[in-house]
Amino acid sequence: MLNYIIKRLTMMIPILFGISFIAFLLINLAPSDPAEVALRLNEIMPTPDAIESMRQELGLNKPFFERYFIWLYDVLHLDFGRSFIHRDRLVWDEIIRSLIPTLVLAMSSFAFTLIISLILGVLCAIFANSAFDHIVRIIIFLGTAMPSYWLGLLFIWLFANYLDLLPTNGYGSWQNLILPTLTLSFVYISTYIRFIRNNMLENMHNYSVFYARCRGLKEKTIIVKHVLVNSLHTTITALGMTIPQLIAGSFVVEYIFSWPGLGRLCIAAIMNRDYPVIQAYILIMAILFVVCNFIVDVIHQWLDPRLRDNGGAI
Amino acid sequence: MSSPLLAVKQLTITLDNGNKLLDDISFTVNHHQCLGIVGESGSGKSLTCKAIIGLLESYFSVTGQILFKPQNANLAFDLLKQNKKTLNQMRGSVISIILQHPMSAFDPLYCIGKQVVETLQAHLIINKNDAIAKTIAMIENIGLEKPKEIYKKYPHQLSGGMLQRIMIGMALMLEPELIIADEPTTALDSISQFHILKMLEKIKSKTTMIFISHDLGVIHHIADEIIVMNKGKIVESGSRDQIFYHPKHEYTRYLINTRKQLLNKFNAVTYANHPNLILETN
Amino acid sequence: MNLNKKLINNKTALICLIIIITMIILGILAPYIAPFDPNKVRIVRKYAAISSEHWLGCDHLGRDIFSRLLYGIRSTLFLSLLTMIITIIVGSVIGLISGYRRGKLDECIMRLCDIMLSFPSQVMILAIVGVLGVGIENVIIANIVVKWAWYSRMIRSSVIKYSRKNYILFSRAIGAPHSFIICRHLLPNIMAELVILATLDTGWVILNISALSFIGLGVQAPTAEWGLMLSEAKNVMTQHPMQMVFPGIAILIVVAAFNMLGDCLRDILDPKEKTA
Repeated sequence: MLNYIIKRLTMMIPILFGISFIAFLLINLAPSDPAEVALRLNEIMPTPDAIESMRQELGLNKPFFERYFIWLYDVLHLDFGRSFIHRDRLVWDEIIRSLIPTLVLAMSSFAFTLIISLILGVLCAIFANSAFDHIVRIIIFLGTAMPSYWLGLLFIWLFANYLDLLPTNGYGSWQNLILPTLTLSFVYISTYIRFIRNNMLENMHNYSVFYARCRGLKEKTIIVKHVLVNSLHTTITALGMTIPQLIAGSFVVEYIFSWPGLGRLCIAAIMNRDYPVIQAYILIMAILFVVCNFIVDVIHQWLDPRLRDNGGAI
Repeated sequence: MSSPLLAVKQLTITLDNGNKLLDDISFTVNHHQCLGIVGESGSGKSLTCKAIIGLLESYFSVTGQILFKPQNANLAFDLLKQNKKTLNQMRGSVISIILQHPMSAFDPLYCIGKQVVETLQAHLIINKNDAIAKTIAMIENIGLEKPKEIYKKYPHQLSGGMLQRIMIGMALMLEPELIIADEPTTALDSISQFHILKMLEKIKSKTTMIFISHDLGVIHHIADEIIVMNKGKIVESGSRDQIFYHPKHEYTRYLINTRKQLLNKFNAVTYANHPNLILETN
Repeated sequence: MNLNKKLINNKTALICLIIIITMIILGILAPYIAPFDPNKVRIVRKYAAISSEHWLGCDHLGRDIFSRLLYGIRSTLFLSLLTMIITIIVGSVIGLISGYRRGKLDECIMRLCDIMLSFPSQVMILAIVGVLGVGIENVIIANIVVKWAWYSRMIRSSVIKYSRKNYILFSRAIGAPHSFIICRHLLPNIMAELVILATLDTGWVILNISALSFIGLGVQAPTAEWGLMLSEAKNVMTQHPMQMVFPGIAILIVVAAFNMLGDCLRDILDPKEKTA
């Protein structure tokens, strides 16, 4: 097990290195000159002189690889430079400030997704093809075809305007969290109800479940211990990967509900061509993704006795 | 001695589309007798066994009777008419099953011991420690070494033969009145097969058994009475000697001849230079 | 072809197909059937109610919503279809090269695919739009970059699988040109899988393009686009909630039709998946 973790960790190093390079390269591929953008954003006429001095300031006149290593060195010290728009603000501070709301939203959505899809998924599998199952499946179907931003708008209209129960936007209290969470989780809930349901139905046909029946175990024991637990093992991998997806995919929801998170920060940065922020966003997201992937893999490995044994094999 | 324990009467299983998978099957199994059911795959052997234990999928429609202890008017009841709960209680404790694929029969996520313990706890009022002790004693009884270590092993860490022994041991633990062995040796290598057969032979004297196999050699070894099935029908039934030495039906003769030919060929090839070692061809 | 017959026999699939084709025809004919110019601002008609003149009412600038929805098919649906077509072409070409050439090149392409497939598509899209700038062209490029790897991988594995088949070996032996083998033998075999994946992805791309337009990163005003219409409706939703009803329904119907069609196709073409 420990071997596996070490092996995975060493594998992560080149991946992270590659990601940092891609994040750096992407911004350098941008069609507009960062120096010029920075000047315009600060409402300075981009005269050749001004551009030249800005290039100096941003370190753009050094060779590519030198700039990459300087940038990498800074990044490793959590220095992502300064935002183009607010020259007095450090990108890192901005990222951290918006990261927390995004994490809050992602976690509450994850918890909600987990609970609802588990309950409904299991019920749908047990009562497969009943009226209940059909109704849930219709909702699932709508969930995958429904544009999340439209759903968000409908929620705002229903709960905030019509019923006047919840605030439409803002951040800070649990009431603020409800609508964004509902909106963000809806698609994922649909996906996972379907996933858990079909997986459980598949597992019910397992030979070991047949044998469990032959042994005269109680139906409840069979469903919980031998069907559900087996399904959860496959579900955990998929569910674990929704955490970064929730974080990455939250930008639409953040935009609708004016949620002061990373996604909104990134959208604003894209609109303003605030390259350092975009770069930091890409990098943080990619790292988050790689780390989540790693954790999920380790948990998966640890849970399954067949994988636990031959720890090295991936 | 020969009072019937189980009587299957006119058992017919039909699919939704009208296909008859079992057609008018009737047989009885007497106390302390081993009934062998022979037939090629798809002949309906396993389906019969599924019907007896009440685990047929819902898309089959079943008619007929499966009477348990038909002799005793007070105790007799039709297994097909029992509710799920009763059948569930009976499975494992009154009727035990030994399956064909030991390697995939156990849940890969739990250690062997736990799966035995949960079976015990499903049928007996027993506390956990007693159940564990009983399990370890069982593992020892079936001739496996280091029972405490085996207890903690996961299914993938044990061989097919070992798992099959555990399955047999587990089937015996609750002292069932009927054991159904559905091709218990088919998926094993020949050495394990030999051991498992020896084990089953020992058990045979103590309980009643239905032994399902496509392997005539194995059946010859273990069964007292034999039913030959083909395409969902019983083509012939009778005592072992009758079936093997005086087969009446063409299909039975065909099965036995095929086996003989195989055995002859085998002997001819293997013992060509040692005629005195030739296996008995029955 | 067998597929066509089965498709017609499957009622759900047929309905979905009819919806999609109707939408496409409406989109093509938009200039002829739209009752109004979609971009003609008439402030007097601001928020006009549903009437025989304005079937679905007017928006905040007095533009006819029905006409805008019709023209919206052109931007939302056609741009998504365009994206899918380019994605399939790019993905197929790379997949074919990879599957035919094998060796180092194949190795490189497949590793690249792995990276693309494991990276969250949303971040990728934001990254690409962030680098290239705001605009629908860049959103389309981003979608293609995110999606091509699926097709490349699929085509590659089919190429490898089928090139070992006897009739293909035979074609090669008698010296049939590669292009002939691909068109005549490989494509028909891959078609089924390709169509399923592409149908399901189209729904995804529609949602994506309209979402980015909604946020303001994609199609820019005043073009009629469903996501953008919803974005405009968002600003006035307190007073005029009806504004956001029709564009939303339009997206829902089209995406649902594509998803349902994809599911049906999978059931028709791949019976073993039908366990559920």
